[in-house]
Amino acid sequence: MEAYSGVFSEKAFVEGLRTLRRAVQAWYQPEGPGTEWVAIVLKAGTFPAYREGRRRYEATISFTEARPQLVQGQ
Amino acid sequence: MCFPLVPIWLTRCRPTSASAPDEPISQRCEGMTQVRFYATLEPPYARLETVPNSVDCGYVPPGGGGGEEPDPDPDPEPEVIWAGLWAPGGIPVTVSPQAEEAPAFVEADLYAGFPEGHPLAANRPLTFVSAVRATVAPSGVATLNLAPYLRSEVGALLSSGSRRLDLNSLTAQTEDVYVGYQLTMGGQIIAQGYALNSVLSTEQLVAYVAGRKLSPFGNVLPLWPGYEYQVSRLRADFTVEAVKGGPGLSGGGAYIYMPCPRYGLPVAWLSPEGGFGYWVFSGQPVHGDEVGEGQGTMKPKPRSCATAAGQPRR
Repeated sequence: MEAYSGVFSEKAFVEGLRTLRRAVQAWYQPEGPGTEWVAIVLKAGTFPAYREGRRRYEATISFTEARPQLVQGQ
Repeated sequence: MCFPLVPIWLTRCRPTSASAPDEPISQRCEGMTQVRFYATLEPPYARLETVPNSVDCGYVPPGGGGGEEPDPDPDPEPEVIWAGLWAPGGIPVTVSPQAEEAPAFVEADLYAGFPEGHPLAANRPLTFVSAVRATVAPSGVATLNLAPYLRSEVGALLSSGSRRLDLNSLTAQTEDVYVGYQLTMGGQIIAQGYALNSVLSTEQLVAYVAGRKLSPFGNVLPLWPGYEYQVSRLRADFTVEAVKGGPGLSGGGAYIYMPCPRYGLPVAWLSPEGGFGYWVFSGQPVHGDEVGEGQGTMKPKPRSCATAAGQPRR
């Protein structure tokens, strides 16, 4: 499954979103807000690094749902 | 001549006092600390001595060596601190055994839960987790790392009795993200504090301003209309509260509205600051009645954030 972050420009967002790349556990809500969170495994992603003067950033991720036995909890 | 500096020796100030110079005129116990007041006929006229961990006040030295002189250099009660469970250095506690024959290793008992006085103590009191061992280095110092033992102590309680971080838990943003701990050796507390699911070092966490949100975005939070989420926030009384991410949130910070995502896909992940990160990606529908035969001709209509969220607003 692929997902796109949209365009953003804040340095805090650039650096914050990059932490998703290293996160050992992530979840998504396939049914939208307020519904069940499902654990995912990140397959790939492009996370731009912050550069002075650059105003447009966007990230993409590609992930699959984690099989229950692969959810390590942390 | 009397100098009424403190009331306690105003009553005792007699020029012909026969009391021995080293005899305290008042002594009492404050916990295990003994406090003694002395009066002298010459400056400074009054003297105060405190003996922490005084044997006379019920302190039992580790190793059962009762009746000996009080430790002239006693260890102070360890400070309560926040520590990061996933910090590269873990949660280190250094111990220097004072025995004449240096032991090969030290062992301490680790407890996890919430100590007395904490709002969550009734739900989850401190319980024994494990005996923690470390070898003593040639320098005479042993370092116990508590993080590996405490990582499995945070998260939502499963029916199996173990814990796992689960965002579907009602307490995912509060008590699931941290746990109290206490390390005791010989009945004496040598370390205590709270372990947070962050990668920040103890120094970084101590420098944290109480009230700061646990988010990878710091105090600048992204908002998507129709997508409400919670963030965790540290409080000065060693509790974590969940607050709704949004402009109504007290405690300052900036909020930036993001463009509406097409087929919004909320994603959350463990934040290195503790708590969880949150971002609404725009995804591609995997199944649905608009999907064609894979020729890439499908062009879903842009929807508002609220419509995509399935929560019509306005």
